[in-house]
Amino acid sequence: MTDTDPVQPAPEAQPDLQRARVAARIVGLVVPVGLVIVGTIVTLAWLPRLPNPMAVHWNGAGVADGFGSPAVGLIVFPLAGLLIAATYFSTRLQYLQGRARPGGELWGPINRLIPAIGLGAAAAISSLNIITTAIQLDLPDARQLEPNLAVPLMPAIIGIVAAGLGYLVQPRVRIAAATEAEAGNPLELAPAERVAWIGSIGVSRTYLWVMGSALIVLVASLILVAGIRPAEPVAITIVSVSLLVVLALTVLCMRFNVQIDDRGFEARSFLGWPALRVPAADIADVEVGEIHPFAEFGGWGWRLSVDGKVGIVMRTGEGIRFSRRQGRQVVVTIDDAESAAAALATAAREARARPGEPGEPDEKDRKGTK
Amino acid sequence: MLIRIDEANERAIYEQIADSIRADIAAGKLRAGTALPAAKRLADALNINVHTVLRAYQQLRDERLVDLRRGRGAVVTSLANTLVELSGEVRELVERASQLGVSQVTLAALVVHADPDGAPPAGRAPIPLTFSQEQTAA
Repeated sequence: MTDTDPVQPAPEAQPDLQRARVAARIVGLVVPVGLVIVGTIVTLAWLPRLPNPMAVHWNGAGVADGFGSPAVGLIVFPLAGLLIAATYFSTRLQYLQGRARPGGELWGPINRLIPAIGLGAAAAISSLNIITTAIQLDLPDARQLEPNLAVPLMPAIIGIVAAGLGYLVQPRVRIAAATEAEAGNPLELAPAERVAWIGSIGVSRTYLWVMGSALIVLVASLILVAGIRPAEPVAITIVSVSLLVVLALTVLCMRFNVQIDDRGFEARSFLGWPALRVPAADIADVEVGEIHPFAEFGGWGWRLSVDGKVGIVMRTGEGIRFSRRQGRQVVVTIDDAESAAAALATAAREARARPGEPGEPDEKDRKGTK
Repeated sequence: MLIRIDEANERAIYEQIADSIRADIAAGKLRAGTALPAAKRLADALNINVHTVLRAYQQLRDERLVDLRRGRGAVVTSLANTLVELSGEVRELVERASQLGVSQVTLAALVVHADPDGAPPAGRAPIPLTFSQEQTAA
């Protein structure tokens, strides 16, 4: 599992990372699978004491509204639990990508959050299983069940608590990306010379494939969920909202127009929003280099990285990075990055040379452009 | 694309913009089919009048390097590919000229007045180029 390649230091050299990875695996994979096993054993043990048909579905008010064979729970709950545990492997994708680049694996809050959320979901599912089974023990007829608020509330509370604990028990390890970049050299300007760089951030084919697949999966899920009887308004809402979010993100990030001039840096979605603006006076230094969105940011789009950088990263390849006097480092994938970096470094230098204008606001009426 | 303009330079601003864009095209940074930014945006970035930018675009259209279409803006034509190919040869020529002690200005004048058929360009007499001492010494 932990084979190393020559680029990365051996795991012994990174004891923190090892600890963090083991903790994440326990929280996100081992415990959820354990819960599935325990839940299955308990249900099997209780099977002779359950009514048939038993209640297998509750509405939001804790009223039983669906009945079926006790075997239903024996299939549905373990399946759901194992699916949740499988989400742990999505975090390993980043690792596999990370090994393919210099700088090795990154680690940060995201790496703790994903397993913790998985644990929360697994705890919620298995407690739902145990609670709904326990309240029906030795009932002659499941239809005699009183409305029980514990059914909707308890699993939610247990899930949230478990997720919180799952996050906190993991060690606080932060390993930032080691990136190779070279400084952008400011242009030699004549006294009355002005420079502007204009370009755009386009998407890669990979990004379109990934977003397209996500949309197809979500549409399929929506059709499936909408077909469930009795109706599941909560599930329908969750899937619809996810669908809208993915759709909006895909469309908004299709193209960003980038403008670098004496006011600083501006990247605006072709729809005008969202926009990222950094005034020239706020820019500390500019670099050009290779950018690996998946390894550094865990994906494409407008993202926040594990080690606290903000990025508009749409493909692997050349781009610029610049650090700010206040705020996060910015990473942007653009073509002709060298010219862009030169223009930005020039703008930053000129802004510093301008007397008495600390952090010139970018309210210089930039509206009206379409 | 990188645009540099110098107000102190005697070359007109619109020509300087056209020069910048042409250089990007020749360097292969602006490929055929790429749309140039809206004139308004470029004018805003450089803090100049929109008409100056439009004039630069018209200049490039007259050179058949861009197409100006309603609704599509300025789009780089396929002549860009030719320019990329030629720019290598131009570089070689400049290098050879400098080895021979001929300045770029002189070379440019030669190019301007060069006529494939050997006849002077219509409406103006060719300017005979004489090399002064300091030019050959460069």
